[in-house]
Order: sequence, then structure tokens, then C-alpha cells
Amino acid sequence: MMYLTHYRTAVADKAELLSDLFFPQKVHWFPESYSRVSTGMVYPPHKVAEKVLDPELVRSIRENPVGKTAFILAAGNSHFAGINPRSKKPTQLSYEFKLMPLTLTQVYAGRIAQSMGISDYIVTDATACASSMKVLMDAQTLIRMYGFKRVVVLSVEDAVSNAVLDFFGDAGASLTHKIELETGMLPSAFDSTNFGFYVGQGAVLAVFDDIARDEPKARVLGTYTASEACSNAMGQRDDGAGFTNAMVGALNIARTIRPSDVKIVKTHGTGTKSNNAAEKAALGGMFQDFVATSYKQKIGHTMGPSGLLETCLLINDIQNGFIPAIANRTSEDSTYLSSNALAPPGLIMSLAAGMGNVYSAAVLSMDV
Amino acid sequence: MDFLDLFNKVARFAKPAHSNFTPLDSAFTPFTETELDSMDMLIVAMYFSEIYGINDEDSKSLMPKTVAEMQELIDGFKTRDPKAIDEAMGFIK
Repeated sequence: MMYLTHYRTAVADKAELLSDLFFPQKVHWFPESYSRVSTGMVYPPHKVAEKVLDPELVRSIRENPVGKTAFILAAGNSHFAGINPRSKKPTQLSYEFKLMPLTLTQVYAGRIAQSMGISDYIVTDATACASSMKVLMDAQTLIRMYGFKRVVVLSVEDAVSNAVLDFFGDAGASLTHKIELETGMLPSAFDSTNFGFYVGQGAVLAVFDDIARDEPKARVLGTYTASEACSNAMGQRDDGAGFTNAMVGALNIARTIRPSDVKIVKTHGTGTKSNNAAEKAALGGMFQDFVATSYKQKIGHTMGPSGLLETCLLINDIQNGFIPAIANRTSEDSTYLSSNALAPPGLIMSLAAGMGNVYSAAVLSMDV
Repeated sequence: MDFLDLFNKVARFAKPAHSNFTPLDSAFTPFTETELDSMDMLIVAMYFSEIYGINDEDSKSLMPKTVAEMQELIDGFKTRDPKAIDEAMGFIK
């Protein structure tokens, strides 16, 4: 068994237009994360991570060791690469690296783990936007197979950066200002037509334990990461095979759980055409009676942290008794929620996906 | 301006915000006996290069063992000389 003992989240609620980009678009961000970057000693993801590195929680981890402990930085990428290599002009997000080691995610992981007194196992994960959910499978394995007592996961990515915004704007995955003006559409998901997401900065720090300690927030019953047979390297078949493979794997790990026990789904929910089709097909084939939500319309797509960060937001909302609506839906819907709903009793299925053919799922229970 | 006070301010700034740092009470305490590791010291040195206008190449050669040594090395390379801690910290905030 694996328990979610503590979590801290950081999200930027309001979206702001960055007009000097190659593809001007709104982002959910912390503008202060770009202060001091010109000194070259601290970079935006470091400053976003500081928002969840609660000194009290860090001190508690350091001063109250529970035994063999792992630290995983789910970074979504191997390098905090805020510089856009094809940039022809500077933007308000431009800066120069001075201390390259601190842009390498594993070096940063070592530095944070050291501050927590963790030295048994320190690793970084780079499975794109599935990263923070994929590492739950690693945490599960470390606890079940390797005798770890605790796994600390920090997830942050250099999401609001020239490189990412240029890439997603060009690909038509993020909702550019041009498309927004032409269509009048805001970010949403699972409508007949959506135009993707705003990118967002965010971070999550989560502590997973092998036994119930300190009033755990949830039990992770099973988690799994899978891929799909696909004709392209990116993945995302319309029939949602990757999502299905991940969910079946998570349910198998959870053993006694049936699909009908799952009543709440936190979708990946990017609102791109391909994700709308794939995720809806997979969920429709797996469950009959459930409610589904997505957080990306409220906080932006935080990339690597999104899966675990949004799962923690959902746990918090369920503790407050409700499942939030998917913002900006264009039609009434009681499954892919267009209005807030009371949290039904039952298990949670949380999903994430990453470019490069990777899908992650976790089954959780709030009954601890 | 007391250089040891400035050093403690810069060192606190260089360490991750959530981590421990006990200010040094002597300019002659070896860094190896403090909570500052080699990465912290590299960052501290680069911050001081910003404060005193020392170019990047020269700043990488700064490898003092104590605060007193650091002050002496900086005096040999500096191109500006802030008079107050707030003024100095202004260069790195």
C-alpha cells in the first residue's frame, strides 16, 4: 500500500497575455519567477518550486526520518531549457544561463534532496507531461519491491518559457491569442470543438509513505504507465488505447478493484482535438457511471507537474465536498462536468499523458 | 559596511529558501566547517562577482577558504565598491 501523507501545491489562477512572443498567448504564471534570473544563479522553475518547498515540511522530513527514503524530481524534461534555440529576437522571457549545472535537473534534484537529508536514492524523471504521474509507478515499485519507507516527489517544469510557448503555439496545442480572437473560444475540453490550453507554471511537493502516518490524505491503490501501438512517435490514437492500457494496468495492480468502483475521473483534459477524442473513447469504454473533471482550464497546462498537481487539487476539492466543473464548457454535461457536482462516494481514477507515447493512471481512495 | 554581515546575507540568499543556514560569526571560520557546500560557495562567489563588478572568468578563480580570504581576493578584482548592504544586495535582487 502507498499513502499520500503530505502535499503542497502552487498554481497561478489568473491568465495574462504575453504579447511579444512569436505566438502571443495567455499564460498562467508567476511574473516574479523571472526576477533575479539575469544573475544566472536561479531560474524560473527553481523559483516556482520554492513556492511548494514549505520550510516546515522540509524540516519535518529532515528531522524525522522514517527509514529508507527516495527523492524524485519529476521535471518533465531533462533540462530546464528556457532558452529558445531558434529565437530571432529577445522577448520578456529571455535571459542568459550563467551557472549551467543548476539548469540540469539531476543537479537540482541533488541539491533539494540534500536539503531534506535524503541520500538513499535521488533521481529525475523526464517523461514529458506524464512525468509526475509516471513517477507514482516508480514510487509504488520502490515501496513494494525495494523496501523504501518514504518517497518524496517534487515536480516542476520550465513551462512558461520561450521554448515551450513557441513549440506549443506553433503546434496549435496551446490556445494562441490569434485563435482566441478569431474564434472567441476560451480553453475548455470535451466539447465538439476546443482549441487547446493556456500554458501554466505550477509545482507540487508530495510525500508518499508505506504506512499511514500523520493523517494521510489518500491511499494510492494502484498506478501504472503504458504506451500504445501507434503510427507516429507522439502517440494519441483516437481510440484512446494508451489511456486504456494505463487504466487497465492500474486496476490490475489495485487487484480487488472493479471499473465500476471508480466514480470520479481526473482527466488529462488538454482540450486538444486529439486528446478530446482519445480520452473520451478510453473512458467511455471503461466506465459507465462517473463524473469527470479537468483542471487545466483553471490553472493552465503545467506540463510535467500537471498529473500529480491536479490530483492533489482534486483531493482538496473532494475534502471540501465537490468535484469542480470543467471551465468554459459550451454545452450542459453531467459526466464531463459543466457545473460543479457533489463528490460521489467511490474511487478516483487520475490520468495524465505525455508527448512521445506515454500514458499514466492512478487509482486512489480517499478512505484512509 | 561589515563584510561578514554582507557575506551572511548573500549566503542566506544563495542557499535554497527552505534550507537551513546558520550565519557565520567569524570571518576566519573555514567554509568546510559551515553549512555551505561547494555548490553553495560557487553561487556565493558568483553573487559577489555581480556585487563587485568582477568579470565571470575572474570570479571562477575565486576559491577562498574563509570570509577573510574572500574579502582579500575581491579587493584585488573589484571594479565597483558598494558602501552599504542594501546597495550591495540591490545588484543581485
